[in-house]
Amino acid sequence: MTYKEITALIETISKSNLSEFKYRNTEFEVTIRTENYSKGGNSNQNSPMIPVAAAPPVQHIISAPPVAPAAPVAPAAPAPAAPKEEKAAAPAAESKGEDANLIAIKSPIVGTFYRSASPEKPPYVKVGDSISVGDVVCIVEAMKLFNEIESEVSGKIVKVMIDDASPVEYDQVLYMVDPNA
Amino acid sequence: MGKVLLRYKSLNSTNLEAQKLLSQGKKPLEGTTIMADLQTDGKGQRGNAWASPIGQNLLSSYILYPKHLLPKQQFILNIVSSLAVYDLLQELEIEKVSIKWPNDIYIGNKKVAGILTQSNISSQKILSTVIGIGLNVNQKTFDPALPNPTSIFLEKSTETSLEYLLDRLCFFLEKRYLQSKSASSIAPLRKRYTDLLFRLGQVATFIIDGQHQAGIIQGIDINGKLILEMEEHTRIFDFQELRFAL
Repeated sequence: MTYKEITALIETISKSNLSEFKYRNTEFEVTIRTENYSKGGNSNQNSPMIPVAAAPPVQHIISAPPVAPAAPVAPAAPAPAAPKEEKAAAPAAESKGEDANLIAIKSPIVGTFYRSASPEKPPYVKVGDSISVGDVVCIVEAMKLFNEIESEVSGKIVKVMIDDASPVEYDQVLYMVDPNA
Repeated sequence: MGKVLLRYKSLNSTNLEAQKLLSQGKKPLEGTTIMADLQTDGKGQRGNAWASPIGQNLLSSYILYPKHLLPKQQFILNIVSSLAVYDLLQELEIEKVSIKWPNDIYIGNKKVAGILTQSNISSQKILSTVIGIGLNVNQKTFDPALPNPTSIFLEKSTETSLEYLLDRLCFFLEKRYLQSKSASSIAPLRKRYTDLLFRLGQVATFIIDGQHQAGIIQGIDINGKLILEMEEHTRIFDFQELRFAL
């Protein structure tokens, strides 16, 4: 699982009503608990929530890395005996200072994200491009309804959060914009 | 609809022209209609070319400002446009007309019209919508590479005036669009659309994840996704997730 896939997973889960999500395959295991989990009163965790930068009041990732420490997900940490906060969300946290000033452009609908008007056309925007309010940044298509999404902010594109032609959820972050650049 | 009509001999595409009008300073009146005798760069979805010989088919686009709809409710636009084309064909007394989900119009097993809807969205609002409708009218022969086209001529063996059809299509589009603004009409619109779905309630074959699978169309969910009864359970599909095996 890549970092991107994990962030997408967190995104999806934080928007759901789930209190806890566990996934395990032969290589690794990931557990995500949301605010609902502790609210539900079924938390036996004493550990405080770790605020995750850029991601709204999400949760913490608790992961028990399997024997192979080479698992791509969890930044190598000794397998803890008891569940313990892991650093899977660290990349986001580390860039906290920087990300704090960034603004997310989010998807207004569920659909499929396209970076260009048609496959042979160049993308509407790419990293480093300056955009103004009202500029079209992408198309989100749902049931053959094609929506050009206009930016509500001006600034510079610093990150494209998902791949061309990928499914997007409502409110999923599409781009990060630096409004001061 | 059609109070302002801009007719061109030739355009790259009527949808592109409509979007050009929208991007210029003064907002076009709602219902502004663009028609072309020839499209040099007609589009289906995602760049699929859509060719039509000059002056034989009705190629038109309509500019709307659906302020009454949230972006997530926009499937109603597919319902409005599909039903308007259906109403028109019904008036021409053509039989076996159906709506192939989400918005192709079929006569029997053949496609007679396609719809391309493009909107601009900002701040959770639909700023504008262009509904482009390509209706095969007097075309008598088709590229054999096309899977299953038909035209009004091929069904009725008589030519029909494009001007007359445009006039009637504007009428039905306006009627259906106004209905979509009344909360009490939404459920009947959805029901009408569902009742007219191509292969509704029949065992049909779909291509899902590259595999041919049987299913029975039950209708659409609140977002317009297709509800299919499959062998063991009911599943819901977005347009990208399934194709009809024709």
